[in-house]
Amino acid sequence: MVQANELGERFLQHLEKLDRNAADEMISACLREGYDPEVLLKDVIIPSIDVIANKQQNREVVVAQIYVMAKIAENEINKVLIEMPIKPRTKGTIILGTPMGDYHGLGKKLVATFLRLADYEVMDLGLSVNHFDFVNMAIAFNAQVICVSALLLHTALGITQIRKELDARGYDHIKLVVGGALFNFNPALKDKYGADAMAPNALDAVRVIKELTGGD
Amino acid sequence: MPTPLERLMTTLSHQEGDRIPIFPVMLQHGAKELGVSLEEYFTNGEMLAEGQTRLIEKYEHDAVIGVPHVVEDLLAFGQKLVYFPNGAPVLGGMAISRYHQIDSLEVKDPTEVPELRETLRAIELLAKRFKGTVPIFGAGIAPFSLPSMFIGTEKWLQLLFDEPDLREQYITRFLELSMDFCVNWMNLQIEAGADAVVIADGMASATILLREQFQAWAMPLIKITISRINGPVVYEGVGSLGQFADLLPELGAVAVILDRHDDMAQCKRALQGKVTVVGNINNIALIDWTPERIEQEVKAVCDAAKHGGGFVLANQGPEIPYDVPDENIRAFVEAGKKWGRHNGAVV
Ligand code: B12
Repeated sequence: MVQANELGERFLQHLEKLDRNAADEMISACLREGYDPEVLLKDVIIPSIDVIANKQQNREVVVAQIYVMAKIAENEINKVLIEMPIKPRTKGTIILGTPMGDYHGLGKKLVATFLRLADYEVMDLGLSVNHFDFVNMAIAFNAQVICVSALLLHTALGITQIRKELDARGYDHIKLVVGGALFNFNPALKDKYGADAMAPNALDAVRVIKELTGGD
Repeated sequence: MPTPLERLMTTLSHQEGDRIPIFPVMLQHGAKELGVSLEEYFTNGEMLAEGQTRLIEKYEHDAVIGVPHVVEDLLAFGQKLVYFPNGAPVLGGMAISRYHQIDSLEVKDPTEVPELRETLRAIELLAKRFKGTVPIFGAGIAPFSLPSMFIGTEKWLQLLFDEPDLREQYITRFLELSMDFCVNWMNLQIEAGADAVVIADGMASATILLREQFQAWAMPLIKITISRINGPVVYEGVGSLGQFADLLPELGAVAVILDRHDDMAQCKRALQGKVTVVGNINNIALIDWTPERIEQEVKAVCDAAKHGGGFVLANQGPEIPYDVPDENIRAFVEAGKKWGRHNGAVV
């Protein structure tokens, strides 16, 4: 049987060429031939995503690529997961949304995808979410982290309101993580709005959240 | 002393004048000058013109802008705006949610939309006051980006990159409709008195697209659009454009607006003598920077790009945010006057 690292390289190539069919054929063939789904996930698909993560950090890939790659990877991961014994996503629960008045969903969607790929349970509250709803849902679902994706400056004030609400209700252990173009252009805004952390892209979001919640 | 218009013409012809032109893009600060809400200001042509007039008297920069924000373009597509006290309005929803609805999407003529009529009125009033001395700018959303605003960014990307069959079926209609609207709207602004128009094309920028995609899909459209607009066009990346710098002269634009990720010196080299570069002070950071920091940033950009003309000092992105304090705008303009001087050496 072909080695995992060789398969990983092939999978990465398919991702980089945005070749959905080739990626799909490869994973389907592996599963048909009895390849261990767990190995496929951990040693083939996830490492490919990590490689792309590094490229994004260096601005070597653009949004269009990340968008398609994430869809391809998610599709294949779902296919592999079906073959694996059911177990809940283990890393914890995350609440995600955009602040009231902000209807930009693309960054949020990418963040949700990559967090799910990293085994987090993500409750996506959608677009233009009231700060009470962020906090109520976080408490109700025992979430460790609230993630807010903000593209517009003037609606990002909703983030401060989430912070205040968390503190007022004694839930200051719930972490507040932010991202979006604003924070990339001015990382100082993170502190201004009372967030615990920010990340410049969806893949770093996973890293930052792992660090904050003490996961591996 | 040259007028702001002469200053701009000099730099556009890639010559050095007394100093570089300075364009802080202040779409919102006029409301503060007039003591009115942004909603009132954005929807009243007289106020927009009066706001621009007071701002240029206050800061003595080199341009006026008749447009309040580009989100208003979508009013012609039947969309609604939700206003905010401290920033541009956002869309209340999308015009269509499925690709096939493009066939029945009705687009109004801008002159039938009250807010857009007010924008034209603002440009007319500015022309009365400033024509021939201060350059008057119009603006709108470029056709490659417009669909992201009437069907949503995700649906638009999905159609472009992930649905080849649907793309085949619908893309032409999306782009033609967007182009026809953009050309008509920009030409109306020019007729009203704008000296040039800015077309904002964030979805075509190197932040979103690969070079091949830009070449295959965005470039042909931009070229035709610009050729159909009856006046000079400034092409705004909204995001980065540096990776496409060598391609930009083909577009037909007189100038391009770059973002803060773009290396100004490198872009300037690629475009020297062909296209004027505009930019690229970080607009979001202007809120928190000290005046000293602003001066340093402005100096760095001037050092990188002012030589030989072909440069306009501006912020990156489509606006200076409402919350940027007056003293920071003042620092920006004054630093431009100081570090953008050409030592009297007219080439
Ligand atoms: C494309 C674009 C446009 C297009 C299309 C926009 C659309 N359909 O909404 C056009 C040209 C039409 C446009 C118009 C406007 N735009 Co615009 N636009 C952009 C641009 C270039 C890219 C936005 C985008 O979609 N990026 C793609 C997504 C995937 O990236 P992202 O959201 O940043 O997400 C990534 C990371 O940030 C991170 N992330 C995201 N969320 C989260 C969350 C967490 C928790 C974490 C950890 C990480 C994370 O991961 C994601 C994936 O890597 C940005 C500038 C830029 N360089 O980003 C400006 C920008 C967003 N626009 C801006 C503005 C001002 C406007 C206008 C208001 C202009 C005007 N004055 O009229 C209008 C309003 C638009 C609207 N929707 O209401 C400003 C907003 C800041 C502000 N001042 O408030 C920006 C930042 C430009 C700037 N420098 O000023 N725009």
